[in-house]
Amino acid sequence: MQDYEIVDLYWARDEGAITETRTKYGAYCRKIAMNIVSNDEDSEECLSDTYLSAWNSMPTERPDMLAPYLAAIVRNHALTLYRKGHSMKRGAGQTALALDELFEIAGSDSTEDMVDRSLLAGHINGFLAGMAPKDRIVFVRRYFYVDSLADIADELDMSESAVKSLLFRLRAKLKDYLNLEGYEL
Amino acid sequence: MDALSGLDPKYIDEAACELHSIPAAAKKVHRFRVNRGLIIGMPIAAAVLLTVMVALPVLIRTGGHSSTTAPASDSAAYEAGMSDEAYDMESAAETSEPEAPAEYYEAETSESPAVSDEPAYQESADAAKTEAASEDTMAEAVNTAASAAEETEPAAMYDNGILRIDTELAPAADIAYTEYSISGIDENGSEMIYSEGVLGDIVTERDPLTLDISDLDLPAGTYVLTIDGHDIEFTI
Repeated sequence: MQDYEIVDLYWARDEGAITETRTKYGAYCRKIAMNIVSNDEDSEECLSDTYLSAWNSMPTERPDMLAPYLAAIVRNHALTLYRKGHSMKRGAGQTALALDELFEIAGSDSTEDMVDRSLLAGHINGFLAGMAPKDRIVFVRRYFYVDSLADIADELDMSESAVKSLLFRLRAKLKDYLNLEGYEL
Repeated sequence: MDALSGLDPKYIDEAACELHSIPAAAKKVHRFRVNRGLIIGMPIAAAVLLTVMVALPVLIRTGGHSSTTAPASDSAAYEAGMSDEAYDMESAAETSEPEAPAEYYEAETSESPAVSDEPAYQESADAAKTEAASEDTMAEAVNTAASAAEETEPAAMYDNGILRIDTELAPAADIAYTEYSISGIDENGSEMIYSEGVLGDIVTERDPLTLDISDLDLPAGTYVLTIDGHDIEFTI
């Protein structure tokens, strides 16, 4: 079923929308949740919250692409759960690692001083727009999807060291980019 | 900080590898890496094979040298009508050290020198010279192989966009502001500078000095990395 058809089901308040969403994007959303919370119980909780959020947000929202829409929702739920639990179970280190890598660009306190997150997001999107597709995919996989370096290397047929160095350079470029946009990092 | 919550959906979708096949760029990189691996690996394998083919016969020949020269001396001694003693010595020389021809010569000189003995001596001397020449050839071949091995020892290793520099060649000064340039010969035979700047832009590790030049997407070939006036050659 096409995305617009599933969205139409949401707008029609047809509970089949949830079934179709689970069928088409269940595995995708579960992977995002697992990357962040790293246990089945919490990831199932994230999925349930995601379907509920999608049901509550549509109508009013009518996303063109359902996958990134759901990805953002499940990611937010997973991050909330992660921060609430500060779990140190298997894989949770990966989440901390990925967030810390990006956090080091912002600095320890200036993160809290960033007033307009949407403005920052816009700048980051501008930064990504100027990147090569492969670089952008690696960046997004690491910092949005919180994939491990090994998974990214395996997915994109690169060596882990190549992924690591690429991310190192991209973070440096992002830092310079944000400095030029007026952020003091 | 989670500013990525506002990430543009098209970038989220682009990176959704679970939903899409492997991106075309990655597939191309995979195929290119396979082809590049063959392009680099085959000449190296051919060079190693050639070295083995040259050195091995020389080593084999050296190992069986004493047995090859003795029979010639042996038959010459018989033809010259040597004494039994000298003949026995020569027979023993088939499995003895290369000094056998010298002993044969001493035994020969103790006898009354006859004109007919001179060809045997001459042939023995020639055999000794051949042996010495063979030893020189073998030594030269071994030295050539050793120097070739040293010459091919790279000072910089390139792998999938990452360049690792021999630590001894790394600049001592603060590398962040050390200038570099990467040049090579383009398809027209002209020298071309592919990149230049400061190492801080491309360094990913300091020890060993590791540079990320994947952005340059350099084609296969030989390039020169110049740091602090020092040229470091590397091959893609």
